Amino acid sequence: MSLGAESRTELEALYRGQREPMVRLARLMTGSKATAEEVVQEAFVRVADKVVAVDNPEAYLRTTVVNLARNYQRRAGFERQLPPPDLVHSALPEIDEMWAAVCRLPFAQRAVLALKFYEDLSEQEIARTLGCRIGTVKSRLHRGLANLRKGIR
Amino acid sequence: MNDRQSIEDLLRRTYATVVDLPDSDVTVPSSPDDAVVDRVVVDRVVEAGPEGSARSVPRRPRVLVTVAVLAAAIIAVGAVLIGTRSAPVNGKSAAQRPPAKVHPGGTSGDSSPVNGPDENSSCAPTTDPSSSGGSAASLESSDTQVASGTLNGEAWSLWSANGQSGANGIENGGLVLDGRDYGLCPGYPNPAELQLIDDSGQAVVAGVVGYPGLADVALSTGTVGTFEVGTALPSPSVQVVNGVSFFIGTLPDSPCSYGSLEMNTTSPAVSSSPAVSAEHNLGFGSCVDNQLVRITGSQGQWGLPAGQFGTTFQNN
Repeated sequence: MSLGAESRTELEALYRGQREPMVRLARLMTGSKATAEEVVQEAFVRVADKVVAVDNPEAYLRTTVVNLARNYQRRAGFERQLPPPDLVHSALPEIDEMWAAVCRLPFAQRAVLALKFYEDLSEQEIARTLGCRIGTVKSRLHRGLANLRKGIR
Repeated sequence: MNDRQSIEDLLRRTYATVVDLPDSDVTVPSSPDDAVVDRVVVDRVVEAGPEGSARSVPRRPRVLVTVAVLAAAIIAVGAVLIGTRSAPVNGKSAAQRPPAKVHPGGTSGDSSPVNGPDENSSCAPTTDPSSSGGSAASLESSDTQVASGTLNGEAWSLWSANGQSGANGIENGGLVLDGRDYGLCPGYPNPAELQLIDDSGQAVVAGVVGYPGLADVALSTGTVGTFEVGTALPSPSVQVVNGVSFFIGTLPDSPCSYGSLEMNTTSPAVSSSPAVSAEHNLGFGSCVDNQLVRITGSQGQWGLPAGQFGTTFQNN
């Protein structure tokens, strides 16, 4: 039972420190805050009994969030199961236009861009998070930025 | 500043702006309270789902020795929490609620329990409404019949894909009604799934609750995008097949008249798994004689403490 208490304490700390950042990251990947909250809730469920079992719970949680966000994206493709991307009215047209362009990107490119330009992860860290090669990360970054450039013109 | 830099800068500013935009529809708690953390732990226990695929993150050596003990301890804590939280449900405990109705003409197959919904259920291929309702010959020659019965004088049979078990088997098998194959995979493989059939103008509902044991299945009219419970509809007949619940029943009005249905299910405690509820709101499109009615909207909540259905759906 003491081990359960330890796990619970670490889970609380992880939740306290990482829930909001993970919701923000998931929102950038899914385009929807409602979906992001579901993704992050499920991610915490998945990591609950592993929180003391991994060297880097934050990285583990981030990877789980990305994987679940990808799953939700696939699910949306099946039956329009998810709410639509948030409509953003920032009072800055270029921001609105860029966000709309981001939401049109394939998930793989959107994820890499969010990890690079929001989370400020290195390409190596992104590759580790996504479980792919650095070359794949570079390729997706290049294509994602190119698509954004085309999308906002 | 070159073109690439300007795009990157604009992207950074966009991210910073979007994540900080207020959203009055969604509440993000700044810190967890006990209930939230309890819920996380409880959900972990009742869902018993697969791990996230962060396998590249190494585990601490000491936990290699103790992880089994830890998991057992969390399950024990979760069981205590659930026992505390779910005892009174609308004045009745889960055990006090009337048992689910079992189809009088049905025969069930294997009733051995499974360990929870199969989140890896492939539910493939998804049944395309436009090709549903065709000949059952192919299904009946390739799969195994696991249940049968009659509904309004029409024979139905349930088929499980060979070599597959649990919800996965019957979702990848199919339902034959009056000689027509309607599949049993109308959408994404959710833990509680429902399909609406236009059976020559008669509305027929059928589906699978992927949690172990005999589920209580409550149907009502609904509102797309919410979990509101509308007018109560007749309870379908439920039976345990492949260790999970299969249900089938008729609705009183035309299949074309149900724009949305709400399904609330509660599955019993089985072995070390506590009782668990799920709710699924579905929207339906136009209907065609002897075909599935196309699903146009769907959202659900799974792994809920028994009887604790949400009434609101957070949408932006």
